[in-house]
Amino acid sequence: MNDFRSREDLQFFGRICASVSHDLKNVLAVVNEGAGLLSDLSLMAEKGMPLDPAKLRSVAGSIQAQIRRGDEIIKGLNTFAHSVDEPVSSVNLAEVVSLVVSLAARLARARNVSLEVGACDEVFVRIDVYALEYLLHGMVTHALAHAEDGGVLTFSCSSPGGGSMATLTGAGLGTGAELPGELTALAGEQDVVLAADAGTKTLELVIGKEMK
Amino acid sequence: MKILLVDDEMELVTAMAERLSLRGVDADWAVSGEQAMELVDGCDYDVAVLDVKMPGLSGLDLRRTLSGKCPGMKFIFLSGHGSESDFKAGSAEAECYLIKPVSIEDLLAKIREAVGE
Repeated sequence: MNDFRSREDLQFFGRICASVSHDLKNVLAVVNEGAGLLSDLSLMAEKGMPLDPAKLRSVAGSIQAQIRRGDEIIKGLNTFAHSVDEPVSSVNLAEVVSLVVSLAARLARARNVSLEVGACDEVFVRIDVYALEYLLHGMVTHALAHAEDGGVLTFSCSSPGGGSMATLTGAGLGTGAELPGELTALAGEQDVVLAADAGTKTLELVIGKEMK
Repeated sequence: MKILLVDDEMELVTAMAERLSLRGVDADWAVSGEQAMELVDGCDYDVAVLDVKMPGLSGLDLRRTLSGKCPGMKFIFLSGHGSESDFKAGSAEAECYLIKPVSIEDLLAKIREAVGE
C-alpha cells in the first residue's frame, strides 16, 4: 500500500470519527439541557412553583433516550474501529451494511436524504472489512452527490448465484458522473466488482461468497 | 428581548427555550432553517441562536438570509464540531460562536452581550 492510499484510508477513518463525534456532541448537548431543565424546575419548586410529575418523567425519559442513542453511536464506532484489527476476516455482509448505514446517517441527513437498510440476506464474505466499509461508504457518498432532495436511498444485500452483493438503490443513481476512480481501483484490489446501473438506478458491489 | 433558537435537535431547542423562559427571556424555536424562515416574518427577534450544521438550509445560509431580511438581528452560532473551518466561518459571521454542550448561563451572557445589555 502506497503513502497516498494510506492517507486516503486515514482520511476516511477521520471523517467517520468526526461525524460520530458530532453526533455525540449533540447527544451530550440534549442531555445537558435536559439535566439543566430538571435542575431549573427543582429550583423553581423551592421557590414555590408546583412540580408536575409528568413533566419530570418526560424530561428524565428524554435523557434516558439520549443515553441509549449515545450508546448505539459508541457501539457503532467501536465496531468500526475494530474493523482494522485483521487484514482479512469473515463478516456478515448484512451487519456491515447496517453499520455503514448508521455511520453515514448524518451525512445523508445533511443532504436531506433518507438512508435505509432494505432486505438483507445473511451472507458471510471473506474480505478486508475496512476496505469493504470504505467501498460501501463510498457508494453512499457517490449516491448522495446525485440523489434528489428529500429522496430515499436503500441499501440491501443478497446472495445471487453463489456470490454476494450489496445494492444501493435510489432515484438519480447510475445516471450521474462516473464512479470515483479510487473506489473502482480499491474494488479491483479487493477482487470485487463495483458498478453503476442507470436502468435500475442502482450501485452494486459484487463480492465472492464465503460459507459460514 | 426575544430570541429565536434553531437546531435540528428538537429536544435541545425545546429544553433551551424553556430554560430561557424560566430566566425571563422570551424564546421561540424551530428545527430547520425553513421553519425558522416562517417564524421570522415581522423581524421581531433580537437574537437568533443557530446550529451551524443542519439538514437543508445550514446555519450559515440561514444567517445570511435572515440578516438580509432583518438587518438589526444579531446572531450566535452553536456547533458540535468545533472544527477549524467551522470556527472561522462562524466567528466571521456571528457575534459569538459556542461549542455544544453550552452552559445556559454562558448562552444568556452572550445573548445579553449581543444586544448590548
